[in-house]
Amino acid sequence: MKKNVPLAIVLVLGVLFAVQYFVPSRLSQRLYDTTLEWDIIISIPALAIAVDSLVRHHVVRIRQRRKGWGYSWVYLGAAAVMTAIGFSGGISEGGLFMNLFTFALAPMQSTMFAILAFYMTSAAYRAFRARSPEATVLLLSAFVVMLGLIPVGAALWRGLPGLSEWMMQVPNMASKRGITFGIGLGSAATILKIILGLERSWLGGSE
Amino acid sequence: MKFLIALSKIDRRVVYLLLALAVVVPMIVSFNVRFHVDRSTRDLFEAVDRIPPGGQPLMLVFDYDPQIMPELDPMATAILRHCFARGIRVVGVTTGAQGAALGERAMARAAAEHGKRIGEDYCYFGYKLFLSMIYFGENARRALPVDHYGRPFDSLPMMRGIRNYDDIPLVIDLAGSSILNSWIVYMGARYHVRLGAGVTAVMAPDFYQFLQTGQLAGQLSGMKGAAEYEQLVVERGYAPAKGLASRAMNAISASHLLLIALIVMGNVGYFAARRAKPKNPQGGA
Amino acid sequence: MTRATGPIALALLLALAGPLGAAPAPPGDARAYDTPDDQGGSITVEWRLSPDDAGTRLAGYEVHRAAGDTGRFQPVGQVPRGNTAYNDGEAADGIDYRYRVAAVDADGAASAPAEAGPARAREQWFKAGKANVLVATALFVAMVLVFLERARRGRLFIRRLAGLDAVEEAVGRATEMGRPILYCLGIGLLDYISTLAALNILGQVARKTAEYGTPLVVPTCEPIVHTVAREVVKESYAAKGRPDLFSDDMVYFVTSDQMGYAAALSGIMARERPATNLFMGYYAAEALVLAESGAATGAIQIAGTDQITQLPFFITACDFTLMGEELYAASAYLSQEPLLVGTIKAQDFGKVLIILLVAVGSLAALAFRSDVFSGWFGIK
Repeated sequence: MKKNVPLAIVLVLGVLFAVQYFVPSRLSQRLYDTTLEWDIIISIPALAIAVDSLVRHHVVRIRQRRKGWGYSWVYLGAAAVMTAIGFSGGISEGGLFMNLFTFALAPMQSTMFAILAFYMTSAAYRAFRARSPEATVLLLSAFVVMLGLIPVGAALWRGLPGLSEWMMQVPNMASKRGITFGIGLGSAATILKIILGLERSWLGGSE
Repeated sequence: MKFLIALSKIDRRVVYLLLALAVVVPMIVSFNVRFHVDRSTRDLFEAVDRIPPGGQPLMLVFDYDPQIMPELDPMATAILRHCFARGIRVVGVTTGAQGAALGERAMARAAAEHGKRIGEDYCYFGYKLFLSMIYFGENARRALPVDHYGRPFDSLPMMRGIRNYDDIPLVIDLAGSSILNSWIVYMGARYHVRLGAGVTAVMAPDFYQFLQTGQLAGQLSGMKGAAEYEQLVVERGYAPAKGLASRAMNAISASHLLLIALIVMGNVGYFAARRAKPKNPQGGA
Repeated sequence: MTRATGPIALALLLALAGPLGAAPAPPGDARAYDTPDDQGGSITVEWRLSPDDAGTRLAGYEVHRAAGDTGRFQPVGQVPRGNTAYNDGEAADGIDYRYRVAAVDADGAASAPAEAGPARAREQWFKAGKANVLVATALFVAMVLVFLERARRGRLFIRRLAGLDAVEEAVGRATEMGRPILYCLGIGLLDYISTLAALNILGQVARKTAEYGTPLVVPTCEPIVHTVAREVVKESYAAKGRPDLFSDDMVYFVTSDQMGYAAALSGIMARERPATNLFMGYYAAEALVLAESGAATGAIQIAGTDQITQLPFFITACDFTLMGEELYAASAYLSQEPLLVGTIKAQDFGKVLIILLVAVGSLAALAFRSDVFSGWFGIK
């Protein structure tokens, strides 16, 4: 029973919205709009559950003195301070909340994103080896694309930026489209499996 | 031989340090270089340039947050300078909560530079749900009842006569996530909105297909796209000097060259190590 | 004197005649029709560009509308130059409307109007433009059903995927080492297919960790996904008869901020040193941060995503990577349920069909579009 009810809901709504896609009438449009609104309504209690889970997790870590429990204090403190400032002082430009956002949160997030460049360089240095003819082709195309992106490339050979653009737009796109076809069919199959109730892993399995 | 083999075993911390130098030094010692402008950048520039001055506004969507701000903020600035210098009106909005402050700052800064007035030359609506932006296609006034500063839609002179996307000649979404896909699917396909995009370099290849199908009028890809746009803005006489992105391009050039050098060194070391391996005793010439 | 007045008079005449004769050339071939595939209430008007559209003097086009045969024309909208269509979204269903489109210049001078209509807005019950999607969907559903039937009768052969064989091994390794398994669902929303696939795989992995008693850590990034993930893990432990091993603390929400999530997970990897990291679902720029942080701890890493731009990063930094549809198929492989495997066969046949269609379409385009054909072979 516990599993049959969700499976029935998925089947009925799955088929209903597959049909809705092909029906442009007012009734069908209203049905679709209402579901979009439900989506927003559902996301709010889910957010509360998520915040509850986060706070509980850190409180448990502190109580059990798990490894790195001090960071949990940092987290809970930062969350409490930001919330309190937001509620008391508002979130307008120039206020304390916005200043914390601009001068603390923004640089920290940019830093995390910038770390990507370091990881990319180190990963490329370790992994890019001309081990086989295929790997050599890959390596050479990477050089063309990289040089094509920067002014030095055009200085070396005028045609390089054009060649780099062509490689990105033609062979790269061709292979991406190939993968995309597979993804499209895979998506359709996955949805079908869920709608028909064949795939029940999301319910914890069929046993 | 040992030295050559060592080339493929440089410690990752040394690699990090070299990259940091390759980025920081060119930012300090600035030099001006001209670069090739991609067709997608040129297409977006032309799409903006074709909008008649003083008429229907361009919509600029700040769908980015602080983490990707270094790449997308220069795009916003270059586009805004272009629009304001040419007299094109701009409506700013974002569908990401964290983009609200970034969009506000970018618009206010560019408007101050060109002496533009809010409500007449530009409007800023701040953070709106993506669903509201879908609803803009049906009824602009109800989708955006008040602007970021609480002023009603009808009190903004430049918004008079804006009914829905039919009155917006171009929407440019500056994004670092799949939200751009949603703009293409909902606004592009459903309301036939003419769309342009600015995306991070990492995301750029994901959207080439939409350029090929014409679903995107043009696209700026990462810092390079911003630098190319700055170059076009200067070349057409809309601004006296290039901006931040062009300076950052020097750092990007240096880091690309470093990366190529590292990969070459890694391969030299790899082949040296392969040659140094003891030969198979049974293997004859 | 007379010699001088001639040109002046001509200039004066031209200056006077200028504004009078300046009305732009009208647009051509206007037509109005019920906007297709919609819920009614809308008529589309189309025209050919005015010959003056190419220059800069034209401001745009003005569209006027009149109801019935006798109604007066009223302005309904404007579009900037370069546009050849206007969507009148304020038409009432079942009423005949006539339209007039005029080119207007910057000074407000309008051309003679091009007339269109009458047209009537109607509510549609089928999107004719999506008929191809309907046929393709029906075909694919039929293929799935056929292969399901075949799978029911006997087992179908499916090639193994190294990345999935490794999942079992990785769970075993974590159990031996007494260290946890980190399962990351990515930053996608619940309606992303990759997130659904990742939740399916999570169900299978949780059953294995329940069986072996291996600790499982699932930090999540999206509130709704979090709620579902917790239920999935809980149900899997219950299904394996080990509800005692499940605790709410296994699945916890971290942040919905992309890079904040990457930072938190890097911290978890550095502190808790999981033996195995599984990255399944939708990933963007944080993919490499996660995979490199994990590689530095020496964990076995298996990734799976349908985000093509992130695949190179995962391939570089992980031991195994499931690409695109392999991610969707993973749950079927792991459970080895013949019915699920049947859908994979249907996918393969779908792909063969697409390849054939693309080949036929490309050949036809080459054969019938003489410009492409002649361009390639240098024929004039």
